[in-house]
Amino acid sequence: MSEMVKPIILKFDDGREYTLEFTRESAIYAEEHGFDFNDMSAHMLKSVPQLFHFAFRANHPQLSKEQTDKILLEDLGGLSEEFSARLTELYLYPYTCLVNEENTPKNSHLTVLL
Amino acid sequence: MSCKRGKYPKKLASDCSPVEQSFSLKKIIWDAFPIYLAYGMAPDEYWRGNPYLAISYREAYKLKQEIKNNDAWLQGLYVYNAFSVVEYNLNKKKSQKAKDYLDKPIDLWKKPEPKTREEAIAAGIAELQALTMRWESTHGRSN
Repeated sequence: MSEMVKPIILKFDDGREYTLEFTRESAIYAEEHGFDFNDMSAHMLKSVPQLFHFAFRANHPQLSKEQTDKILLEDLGGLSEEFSARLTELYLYPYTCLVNEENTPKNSHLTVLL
Repeated sequence: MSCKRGKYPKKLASDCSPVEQSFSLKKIIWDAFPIYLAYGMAPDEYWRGNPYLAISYREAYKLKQEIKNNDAWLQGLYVYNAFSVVEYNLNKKKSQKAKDYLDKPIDLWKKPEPKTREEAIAAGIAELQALTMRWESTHGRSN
C-alpha cells in the first residue's frame, strides 16, 4: 500500500496558517484553468506559481491568484526546488492513489523532472 | 460512463476520446470514478475528500471479496457434507448405522488440540531454525 502524502502547512508569524493540498476536484480544476503538467518542466516560471495557487483551492478557495502570488513572492521569497517537488507530489497524489500499484509498473508513463 | 454536467468537474466529449497524447489527470480521474462508486465510495469523498480514502476503499473491497469467497467455499463444504451423508445413507447396508448431518455449525475459531510437551519443544526448535535461516538469508551469516 502506498504511503500517505501529508499536506504542506504554511504558518506565518502574524498568525496566518494555510494548508496546501489537492483533492481530485482541485486537481481537475487546475487542469481546466490552464495548468498543464506536461509543460511544467519547460515553463517552470509560469507553472510553479500556478500550481502553488491551485494548491490553496481545497482549503482556502477564497484566495485570489494575486494573494497567493503575494504569499509566494513576499512571504516565502519564491519556491525552492524541494518545495516545487513537494507541490508536484501533492498535485499527482489524487492520481497515484487511484493507480493499483500491484498491476501497474511504477511510473510507467510519467516522469517528474524538476 | 456518459458525459454529464453537474456539481463535480465537467467531463467534456473531448475527454472521452480514446486517443490521449499527453498525461491528463482529468481523464484518468473521471475514468476511475464509476469504479470507486462501485467500491462504495461517496461522490463527495471521491472528489473532495482525502485522496488516500480511495486506497482504503479499494483495500476494503478486496477484503469484502475475500470474505465472500470464503463464505462460498464454506457453503460448498456444507453442501458436500450433506450430499455425503445422503449418499452414505442411501447406499449403506442394513446392518450399518445411518449417519446424521452436522448437528451444529463448523466451529471457525476452534483452537488446535494442545500438543504433548515433546511435540511442543520440537515445534519450537523447528520454528527457531526457520527464523535463523530467514535471518541469515537476508542479513548474512553471523559469526
